[in-house]
Amino acid sequence: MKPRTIWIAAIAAPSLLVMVLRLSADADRPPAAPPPAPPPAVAPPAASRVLSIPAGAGDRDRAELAELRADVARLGSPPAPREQLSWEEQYALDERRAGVKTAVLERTFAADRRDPSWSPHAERKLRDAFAAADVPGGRLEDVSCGATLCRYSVVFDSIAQREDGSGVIPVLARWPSRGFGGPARDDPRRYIMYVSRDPESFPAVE
Amino acid sequence: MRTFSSKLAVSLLALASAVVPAVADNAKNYPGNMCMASGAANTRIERASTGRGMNLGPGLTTLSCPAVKDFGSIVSAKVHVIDENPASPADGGEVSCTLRSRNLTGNEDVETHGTEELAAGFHQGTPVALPSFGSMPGNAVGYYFFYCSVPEPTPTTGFRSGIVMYQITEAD
Repeated sequence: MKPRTIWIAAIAAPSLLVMVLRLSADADRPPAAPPPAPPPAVAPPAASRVLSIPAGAGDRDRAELAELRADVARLGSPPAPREQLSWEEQYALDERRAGVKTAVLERTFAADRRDPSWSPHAERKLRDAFAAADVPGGRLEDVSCGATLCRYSVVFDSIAQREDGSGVIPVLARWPSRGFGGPARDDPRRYIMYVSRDPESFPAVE
Repeated sequence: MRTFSSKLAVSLLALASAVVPAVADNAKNYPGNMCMASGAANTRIERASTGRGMNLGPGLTTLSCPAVKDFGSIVSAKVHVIDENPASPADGGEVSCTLRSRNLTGNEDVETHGTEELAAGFHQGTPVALPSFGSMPGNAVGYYFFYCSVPEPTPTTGFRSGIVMYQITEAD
């Protein structure tokens, strides 16, 4: 066989193979569905426009199609409107979330053993930051750090002072960290804050 | 028959992915000159025409930088700052920012980062991004803001520090 013939065969063979495969796929294809109607102004779920059941499909296929159509319609439909909570309900929701989070943090803190290489240092930094903040009417009641979590509380003479002072109480930790805090449930004049050793060690409470 | 079912399933999956609305993150950028000095101290903030907010006052100043709360919670956040004060963080020479998500009951989540975490605390004239802030829950009746501590200008050189821009990305 001449080299030229070999080259022609090498080029033609893959082309022929592709053509055969395409023809085979066409033969396997179901009969063509009628062209879809133009979409209305407000489009229904897309599945009802583009899918048709070919002749010869069995009951099982029809059932499967109906089920999948329902899934697509559900996924494609706009999300159900959210329940509109009243202001009081939203407020109560935030309070409940805060209560749950505080309970988790309190348990975590109670189980957090001290780290002599870090706990005293962190407590000193928090005390220094509080002193520098000069919080009117606020007294640093307690500062305690475990290995990964610190807890401190500040007592104010009045709720109004707590409201003013709580602007700086949550940011006493001047190191990379995460924290959560709020007024104590049993005494709204007391603000309790939990802050972690680093952002990664803050307990997952959401 | 099997071929028909397979094609049907593939078609529907493709279709479903096309019609399902994507849950997109919503990032908003704010210029640093939106930040306002916080507290009663003697403050002097330059709201530069470049959009930056720089501390020109005689001492460390805290800036409160508001953000819009459109959605349910924060996915991530960033702050770009300029820290030209060569003093150590212990001497107040660091730009640090706390992301705060607060509600009306006084509860709040916070996350803090500062230039001390970067390779060097002194970045003359070059905006640097503080380490990224992570996800943070929102409150039903709450709001977000950055609370940044910015050192005073260096007396001998006049080098200044401030906030260039900040970004909060929310998700529904």
